[in-house]
Amino acid sequence: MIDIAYFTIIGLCIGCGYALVALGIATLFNGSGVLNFAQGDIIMIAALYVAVRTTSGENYLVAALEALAIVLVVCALIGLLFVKPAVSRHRDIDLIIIGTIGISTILANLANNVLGSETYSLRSPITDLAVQLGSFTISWDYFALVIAAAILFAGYLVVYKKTDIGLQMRAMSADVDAARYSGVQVAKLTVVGWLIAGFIGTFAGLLLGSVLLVSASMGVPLTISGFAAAMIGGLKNPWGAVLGGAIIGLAETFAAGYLGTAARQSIAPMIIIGVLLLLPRGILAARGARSRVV
Amino acid sequence: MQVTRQRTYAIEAAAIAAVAIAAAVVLRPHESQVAALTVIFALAGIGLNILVGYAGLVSLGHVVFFAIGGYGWARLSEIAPVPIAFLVPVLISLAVAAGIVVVTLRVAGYYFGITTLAIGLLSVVVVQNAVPLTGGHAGIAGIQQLGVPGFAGPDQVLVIVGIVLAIAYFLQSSLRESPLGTAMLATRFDLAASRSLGISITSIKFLAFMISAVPVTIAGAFLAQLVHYIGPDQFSLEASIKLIAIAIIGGRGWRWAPILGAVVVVTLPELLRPLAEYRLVFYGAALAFVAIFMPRGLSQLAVWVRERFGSHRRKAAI
Repeated sequence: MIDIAYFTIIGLCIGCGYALVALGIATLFNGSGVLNFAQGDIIMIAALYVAVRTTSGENYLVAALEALAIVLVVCALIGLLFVKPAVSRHRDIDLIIIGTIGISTILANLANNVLGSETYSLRSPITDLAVQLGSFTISWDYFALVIAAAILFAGYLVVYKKTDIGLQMRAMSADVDAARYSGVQVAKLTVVGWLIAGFIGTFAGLLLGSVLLVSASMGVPLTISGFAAAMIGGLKNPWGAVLGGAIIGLAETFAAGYLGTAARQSIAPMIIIGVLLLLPRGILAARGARSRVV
Repeated sequence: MQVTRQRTYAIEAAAIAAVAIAAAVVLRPHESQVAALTVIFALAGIGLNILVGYAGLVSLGHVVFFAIGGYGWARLSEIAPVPIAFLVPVLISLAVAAGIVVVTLRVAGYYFGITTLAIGLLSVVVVQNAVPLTGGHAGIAGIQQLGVPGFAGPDQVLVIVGIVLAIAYFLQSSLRESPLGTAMLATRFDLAASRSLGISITSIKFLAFMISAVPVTIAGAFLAQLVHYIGPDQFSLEASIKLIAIAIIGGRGWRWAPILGAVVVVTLPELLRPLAEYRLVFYGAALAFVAIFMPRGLSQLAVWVRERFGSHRRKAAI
């Protein structure tokens, strides 16, 4: 009984992390129409960098700030690259998929060469603080995920709904041409979209890094989990991502606990296929039918 | 017009086979290993070129067919005659392809990409864990290959795959001229317009996906023959991305795209041996570069060369 409670708590907390992955994907998608297959690798860079630096004795906070700086520079560069496809009139989705997949391959293999291919478990300053639950201990890292997810989601909603930049992003995600004619600087906004995705991605990396194993190859599975979380609710609906993340986090944790690693790895892809088969419009998306064809 | 084009394709196909056989005669064993690998990936690239270039569907999960071909050959060639060891994996691939089409029937664009990536990931998990079938992480060693009298080692594979590639090239190029190919191209460029012309999007998607699975499966079987060993490394997500990269870098829908794309994705990195660690970075960069700056891939380069240096009688074919 106690193990079910333990898995539930852990699963929900990890689910918040997946919701953050999905949020990073959704901000960029809703901000510039680019679906980012490299989000998991951006997260991986933050997590792996901090893991490598703290293992060699650097202060956690300093390493985290450096990771944030690196990720933002990387995202700004990618953003500048993606200005061209983002402003083009005829938006070629195939090329955006291939382009971000290419970026994902570059990041994963550069990280592998520069930071090494070892697997780490990241230790944050709060890793040793723990709550006792029967024979299980739950580190505060798990609760930090929930708190950080709540803050970032609230911040995202404020920016998206209340600020001028958010308004421009909504305009761009609805119709690039119309936004351009109304004075939105499409190129600038594309870079801003990537920077926001990088900012959210860094936090996701720091937090998920302390509860998952960190390695250069963790990126693509994270992206898939993020997609799965986003698909359950529909990409346009950030609250859907929270529910989706929770479902995937729970399913993965229980699968890992009772069935093993292979089952855990197949949860996110199976959920994507299952959602397509059973709920083609997503659980929460009322207007999802249109967005699904994008 | 139709007949002369067919004849051109037949001549080009014969040239491809001749080049492969000549390469098998001339090259040293190590070089023909690389050449055979290139030809195998070009064969797989033909499937992806039809899918993404004609029908406009980006699949990131074709490694599943590659793996079915490879593991199918590895297991069946021990117990069954050669035609069965090729045919059964192809049939399995067609069944799997049909299943994937049923799942992805309602989606296009981004969601098709996500779903096929999920399928690719599932295939990787299966390859790593279905130990009785795939040997798990250890893989399967000591795989038999087809023999060709007069040749030895990798040369044998190079000759056979070269001939298969020539046939596949001819079929691919002719498909583009056929009513089916034209219908596929129509759906790639304008769904609504092609529907209004009476084209069934569902059946086009179905046929394109089924057709694309066949060369990839056969290529997988030849890959197993070439290296005599197969394991999860060869059928990773990277392999899946490599397959689609060939068609995209070559130039979606161009008839030479699979071959030139395979040269860029497979041969060039082999030549850059000293930079082996950065091989994957190189082709990631090539992918991103082509996607962002050269949307029509190498075919763009070919058009430029033809306009700059070639005769002015013929305008760009693409």
